[in-house]
Parts: sequence; structure tokens; C-alpha cells
Amino acid sequence: MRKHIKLVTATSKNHWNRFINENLYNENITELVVDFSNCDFIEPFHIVLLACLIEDYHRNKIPIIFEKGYNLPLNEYLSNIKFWDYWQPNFERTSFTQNGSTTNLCLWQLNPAMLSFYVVYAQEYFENNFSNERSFEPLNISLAELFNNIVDHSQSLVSGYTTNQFYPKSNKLKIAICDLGIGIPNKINNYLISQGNSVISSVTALSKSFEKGYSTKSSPKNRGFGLDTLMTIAKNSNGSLKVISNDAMLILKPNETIKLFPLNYNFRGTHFEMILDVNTFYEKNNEIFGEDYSF
Amino acid sequence: MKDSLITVRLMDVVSGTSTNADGFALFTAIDKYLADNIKTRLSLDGATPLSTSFLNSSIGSLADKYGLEGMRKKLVFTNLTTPQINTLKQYFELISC
Repeated sequence: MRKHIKLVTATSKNHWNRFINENLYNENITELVVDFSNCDFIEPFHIVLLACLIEDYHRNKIPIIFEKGYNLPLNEYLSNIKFWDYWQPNFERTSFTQNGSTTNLCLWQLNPAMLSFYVVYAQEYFENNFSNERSFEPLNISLAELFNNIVDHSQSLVSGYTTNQFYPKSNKLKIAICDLGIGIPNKINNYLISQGNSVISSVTALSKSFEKGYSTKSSPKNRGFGLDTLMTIAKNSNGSLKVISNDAMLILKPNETIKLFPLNYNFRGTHFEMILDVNTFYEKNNEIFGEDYSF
Repeated sequence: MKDSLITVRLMDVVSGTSTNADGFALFTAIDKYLADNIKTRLSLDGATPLSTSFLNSSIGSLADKYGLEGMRKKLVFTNLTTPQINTLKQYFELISC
């Protein structure tokens, strides 16, 4: 059976998560058509979500066919981040590639072996293109925490996808990353059950995952600092954070408190969007202190 | 404690500072000295930003093995930038809770 997915210009991001959820691979499908003819606008948030969906088919060896629309800037944007190429047979997927644009990084499927190189590359890419004065270290650390969250906890058959975009006019940086793993609330509740405790609501579980020191101990070294670090960076960067995982959503907006919402669908995985204000990044300071420090 | 002091340059023993695997490489590089009671100076000259996974698998694991105070007596840091000082300070505060 041929599956035809007709994308529409996003009016609601939640709608996209539900839409993607409803169109994941099933074994009756023999070919996937992704139709952009009614889609005029797409952001990193949508791209990583769509990439996970396509990857779900690709890993099941289903041919992928793109029907491009007539929106030339959109086509060019997707071309620049290598979206059209990503599932072609000869595309080099183990590494990451140069982009055709200076404002965004190519779509990249998380590869644990390349993770450390990617986060350094991302930091240097934006510093070299846009700021010799400010350090993009918050981007480096945010990506590392997000990637490690997937590697350590998600159990995702579809390794996560990311793309990042800088907006020079507003001086803001958008990070998007998505996986189709177990989801944070499910992971926490599985852990609670394994410890003989009662399950908690998905909203409570999602909130708990950001508590400093809370860990499901997916590996013995986990200490529950990663998502807390991410939240601290978002707050310190006058940033925003949106997390959709299973049937819960967390939203942080600049200068507001964290808000949590239940969803009326169950997203299979975890989807992050983070927006950082580069004006808040500290200025580069190359001073090195050569004395001995004990902490 | 032996009188000798060995200096380990972080970026000479790891390929990155983001993952648990990177952290374990640092743990291994330092543990052999601490286990032999040799005071170790870790130089962060040229180091990339330190993720919590990296710190958990390196510094956190050393603290687990030697105790926080035991590690503090044997391990010092040098060639630090201000962000690195802040990161390490915060991390030690976290693991001491």
C-alpha cells in the first residue's frame, strides 16, 4: 500500500506531533510519498519531527518519494540543510556535512560516535559566521545534554534528528531535536514500577525529569543533572523551551514560570525545541588562570 | 601521598568532552595515578565545554571511588578559563549534596 502524506503549513505545532504520530510506519505500507505541495512554511521543529517519521519508514526499507511544492524559498531551505538528500542511497549519513547556508546547520541524525565532534562543530560554525565576540558554549552544552538524553534514556529505534537555525535579525538561535523512543513519562513510570512505586501522571513525570538530581539511572553514572542544566541554560539565556513527550507537554517562555499540560494524544517519543537569545551569551574571554584550583 | 606531582592535559587523553565515553577515558587516565597515591594536576588547556555526562563519568566516578574529600586531596585543576571554573564549581556543589 502506498502511503501519501500531505503536509500543510503549520498553524499549530501540536497538530504536527499528532499528525506525525498518526502516520508512523506500519507493515502494510510499501512506499511513502511526502507531499509538500500545500506546505509553505516549515521550521526546525517540524523538520526534525518529519525526519524521524521518514526514518521510521527508511529503516524498514520503504522507498521514500518527495513531491516538492512550488514554494522556491522553502525548497531551497530544505535543499540547503540536505533534507532532500538525506534518505538517498549514497548519502553519507554517518557524518555531518557542510551547509549551503550560513544561518543553519544541516539536518543530522544523531550518531553517538560523532556526538562530541558535532557539538564543537556547531559552536564554531555559528561563532565563525555570526559572532567573534560571544561564546556559543550554551549551544554546545545544550546539544550535548539533549543528545546524551537520547543516547542514555530514549531506547529509540530511530536515532534522534536535529537541526539548528540562527536568526540574525533577532539574534536568536533555535535548536530542535526529536526521537521516537520510549518517551520521558513512560521511562520514569517504568522506573518507578521497577522500584515498587506507583505510577504518576505524565505531566508530573515530565516535570520530575527536570528536577536536579532526579534520575532513572539508565546507566550507573547518571545523576540527574542533564535536563536541569538544559533548563538553567534556557532560563539564563532569556530563552524558551518546549518539550512534547508521550501525552505531556512542558513550556517555558522568557520571564515566565514553567507550564505543564496534558495532551489528548500520546506522542511516541520526545521532541524538544529550544530558543536561546544570543545577546545573553557571555563575551569570549581567553584569559587562562594557571594556578592550581581545588573545588 | 607520594611527593611526585603528575600533570595530565585533558585534551591529550580524550577526543571530546561531551559523552560518557569521553568521561570514562579521562577517568581511566587519572585513576591510575590516584590509585598509586600520586597527586595529579589536570590541565584544561584548550578544553572544549564539559557536559554533565562527561563530568559524571570522569570526576563524578573518581569521587565515587575515592570519596569527595579523598579526590580533592589528590586532584587539582589548572589552566582554567572563567566558564570552566564556574562549571567545575557548580558540579562539585551538585555532587557534594
